[in-house]
Amino acid sequence: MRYFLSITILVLFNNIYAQNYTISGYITDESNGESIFSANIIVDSLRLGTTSNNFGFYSLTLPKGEHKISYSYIGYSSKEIEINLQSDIVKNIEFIDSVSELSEIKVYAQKNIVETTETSVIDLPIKQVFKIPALLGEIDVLKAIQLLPGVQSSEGTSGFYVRGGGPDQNLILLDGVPVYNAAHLGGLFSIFNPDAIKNIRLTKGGFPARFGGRLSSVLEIDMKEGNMKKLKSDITIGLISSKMTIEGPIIKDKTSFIVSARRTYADLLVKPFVPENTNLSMYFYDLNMKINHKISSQDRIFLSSYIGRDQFGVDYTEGDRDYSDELEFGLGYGNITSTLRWNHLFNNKLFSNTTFTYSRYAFDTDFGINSITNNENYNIGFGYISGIEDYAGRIDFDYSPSPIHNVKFGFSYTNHHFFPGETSLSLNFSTSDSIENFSLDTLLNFSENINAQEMFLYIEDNVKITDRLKANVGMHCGYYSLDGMSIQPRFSARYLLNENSSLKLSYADMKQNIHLLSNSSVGFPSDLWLPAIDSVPSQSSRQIAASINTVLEGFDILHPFLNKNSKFEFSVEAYYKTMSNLITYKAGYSNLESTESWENSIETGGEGESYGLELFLQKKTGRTTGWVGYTLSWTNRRFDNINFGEWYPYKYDRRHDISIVFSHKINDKWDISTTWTYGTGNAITFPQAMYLGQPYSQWGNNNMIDLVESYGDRNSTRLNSYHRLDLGFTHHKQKKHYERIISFGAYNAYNRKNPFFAYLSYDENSERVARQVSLFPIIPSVSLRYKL
Amino acid sequence: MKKFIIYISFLILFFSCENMETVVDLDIPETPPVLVMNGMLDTDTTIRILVSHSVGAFSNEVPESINNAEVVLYENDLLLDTLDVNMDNTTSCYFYNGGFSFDSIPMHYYESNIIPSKNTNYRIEARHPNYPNIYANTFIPDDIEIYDIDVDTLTNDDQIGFSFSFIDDINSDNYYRLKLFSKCFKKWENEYGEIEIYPLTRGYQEFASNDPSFPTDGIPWDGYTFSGQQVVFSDALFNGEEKNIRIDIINEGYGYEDCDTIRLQFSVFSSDTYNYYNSLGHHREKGPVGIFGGEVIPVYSNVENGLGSIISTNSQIIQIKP
Repeated sequence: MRYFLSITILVLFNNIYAQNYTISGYITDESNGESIFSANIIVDSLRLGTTSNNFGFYSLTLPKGEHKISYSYIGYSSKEIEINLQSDIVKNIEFIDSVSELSEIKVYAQKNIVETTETSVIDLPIKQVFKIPALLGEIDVLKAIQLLPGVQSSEGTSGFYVRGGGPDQNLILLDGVPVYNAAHLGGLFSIFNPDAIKNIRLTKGGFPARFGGRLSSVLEIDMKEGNMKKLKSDITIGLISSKMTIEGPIIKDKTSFIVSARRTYADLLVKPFVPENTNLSMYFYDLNMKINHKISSQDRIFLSSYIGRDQFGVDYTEGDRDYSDELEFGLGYGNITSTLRWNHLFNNKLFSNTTFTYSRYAFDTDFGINSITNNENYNIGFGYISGIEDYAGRIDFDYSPSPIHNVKFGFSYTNHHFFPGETSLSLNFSTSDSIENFSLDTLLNFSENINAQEMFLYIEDNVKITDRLKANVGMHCGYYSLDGMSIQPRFSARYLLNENSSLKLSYADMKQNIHLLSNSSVGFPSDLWLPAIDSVPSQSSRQIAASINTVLEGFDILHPFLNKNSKFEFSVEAYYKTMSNLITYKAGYSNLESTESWENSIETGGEGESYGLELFLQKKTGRTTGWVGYTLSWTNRRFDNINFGEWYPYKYDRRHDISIVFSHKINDKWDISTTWTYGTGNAITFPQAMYLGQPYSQWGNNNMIDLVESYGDRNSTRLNSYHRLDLGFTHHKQKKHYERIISFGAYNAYNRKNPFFAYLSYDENSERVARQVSLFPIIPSVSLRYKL
Repeated sequence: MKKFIIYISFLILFFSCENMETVVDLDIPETPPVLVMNGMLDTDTTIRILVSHSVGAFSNEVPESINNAEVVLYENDLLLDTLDVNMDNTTSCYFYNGGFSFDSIPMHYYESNIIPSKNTNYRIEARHPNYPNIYANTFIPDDIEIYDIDVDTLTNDDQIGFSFSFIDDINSDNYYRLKLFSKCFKKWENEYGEIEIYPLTRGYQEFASNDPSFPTDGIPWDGYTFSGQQVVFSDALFNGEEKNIRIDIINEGYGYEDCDTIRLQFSVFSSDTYNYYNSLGHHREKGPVGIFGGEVIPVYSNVENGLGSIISTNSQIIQIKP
């Protein structure tokens, strides 16, 4: 540790007294004042560069003298400035949206994949997400994420599985706040309203030291800050939901806001078909709000919040003048997150961001019976609630001491409050005939509530070692109140092969102090978030990844679909990941049926391994955009008490996974888009043979014998492969005061019956057959959007 | 154009309403038929083994008894006997045929005149030219001495308390089973003053307990963490110690008063037998688990290269009544 600190100090203060000056500033969108994250700032002559941080701030320390600096970002016209650096200067840059996305911007806009030291990172432009055809026309960020290489998913769910990890191993950050359940309607849609989103970034490996707490991925979703220039609104009317977004300045160029709301109305649509004595509620809503205020050129604050909830309820009544019976059932779940952020610029080399967050996820269900007769009245109520609540604070510093170093360091503290299962029971009985009225109101806890604290310190240095070699070296030191300290080294490096190609290598040691207990593939909201405790220790992983990244150009053969100057980002990445201390439910356990405490319901000490190869070809600009992704992977698990202690394939072990996403702007009025996905079938445990069991006596000494099914190894059978084509057409019409956009689409266009689950049954000839249930046939959609 | 749109819309609607449950072929690993061997070795009776064969998961064929196999018995690794099939005695075994009725399979036992001994390892091998050779091992534990037997009929009207003690063998992992049998006859006066008579019935008797070694479903029901007609448990919580067990026999329906005979079977067995009973109980209880349930629990098999189970027990009967 002492050695590491000495090296860090040496590296930090090396060159500090050389003749260097710093150029810094903010990069924003000229049309709305939104800050731009991950824009490239490059000095080609020195082979130096940096990228803007999440708040659009950049800082680049250069030697004294004249320099030509290039600023670029996908989808915007790039800028070049020439400066004579004789002192520290501040240079804010405003980007202009490139003309209708038709022009191919300069090559270095697409060099990010080659230049950066980060591996296994994919930035997904929100504009691209809007072009992807969606189920029922509901544009969905997580469904787009599921189309990336290295990401597996299941039909109809928003959960995703990155490089063999479970859905709990993904850190989903909405404006820096962890979101614990990102699914609406049991996973059909995600909670992220795309109208309120600015950036999407998925990190699958090579995690920088600033990230921690999850093993498999970090998905950063940043909300828009609100238009600083003028009031704008956006209204979408869809088949099952409508949404509205309003954003604008409160004080021009100083304070802005954005409010975005969405609600489904499936319950209103089915209401005419519901019997009169039944009330049905079935909806979800979400609300995103954000205010940001520039206090001064050094200080800025952001306050953002998300509130979302799913609700399903049935209220059934029957009776006449002598009696009345009422049966109620309700199920609800939702997230609340809030963030307060304060950006402070100490000087043009040191930027800080202080964040206070609140996050709560809760699932509740209740069931009640009320019965009233002439002389009796009783009611029974049963309620269940589980969830997790976090309070957290963190401070992050971004420091650029010299041309070859960019240092990030910080501290984070989180207080988790887990309430894994609390059941309330109320009974009331009253009668006019007797004095034996009684009532009961009690709380049953099957699992104790637990508080746990997590802290971490981190430091990372993005250091240029030679003109070709650059590395990001970091250390993440964590402390967990129920476990203790952990040291997690992180490393990634990039070696430039030539101007357009690089080799990258990364290693990340990760630890996760919370678990998600889930035993259904449906992303059911009753899945439990739980803390690591003595008997159920923290999960950990080690991942090594290596990649070749390049920018390809000159695809004349694809003309007229592609401009001959079209550029593609292409990467081939191999990874190997091991995981330990995994948990899973004991075989046969269902959290919907059992009332055992969670500690008694699980297998612990599981091991996991995942390895594979990912190919990714992406085009981000021009008339035609999209990507082709291919993943070849293996993912296995081992628990002492499952499969007799032998390794077995994980449910989401997919040998092949292909996704093709294609969008083409035909003209100013029409866009066409299509996606095609293919995945090897999920691994399941299915009967492979039948045999006679032990005979036994029953019913007066009759000899009975069971026909027993032999299942072979766990997950040794494959469901049929999954593939699906989605189509979308969009028509734009610019009116005098607004733009009208009509989108038509078809999900599962060739009506493939994709497997959801399978079971053994008998057909009409009493022959044993495997039956498969599919969720979605071809589903047409239409939506209408107005941008004012 | 309008007609075309209407036509397309109709087609889309048609496909949307289609049933999405279909019969499919699955990529199931090929499993050729294997020999299946079942039998329970008991210190009270001679050895009897059933040999049959497995069929594919989708086969309509019903597994049949195999009567021309060679079955040999080893005791502590020494050849002890060759079991002969008894073709003179056909046992009809009934099984649920997946429809709404039961079918029967004629089975013939392979028999030996040997009564297994306690504290002994047994291995049974079966060979047949059409299948791979199979074998299974089982161990019969030593006797367990029980003492401090007590029947409490006074404390509670609704149930009869029964308790006893034994000392667990510290040198081995032990597994136990309690099973309650009864022979009952009941008559009582109904609300109209008529005498109703329940016929003589033999069968299992329900009992309940709060013993921490017994499995539990979590929520105590009627004040008990366990209730059932039999319980299988391990010595994990009392290894090598004196164990006192108390059960309450539910006095409802065919209660204690109505039963001529109540007997408790107390068995001790090795891990193979425990794994079999445990997995069988869970498998029956959970059944084929659906999408909202957990993973299926396979029934334990200790037959190498084949399927089935050769299990063993050392049982004793405690006469509670009379």
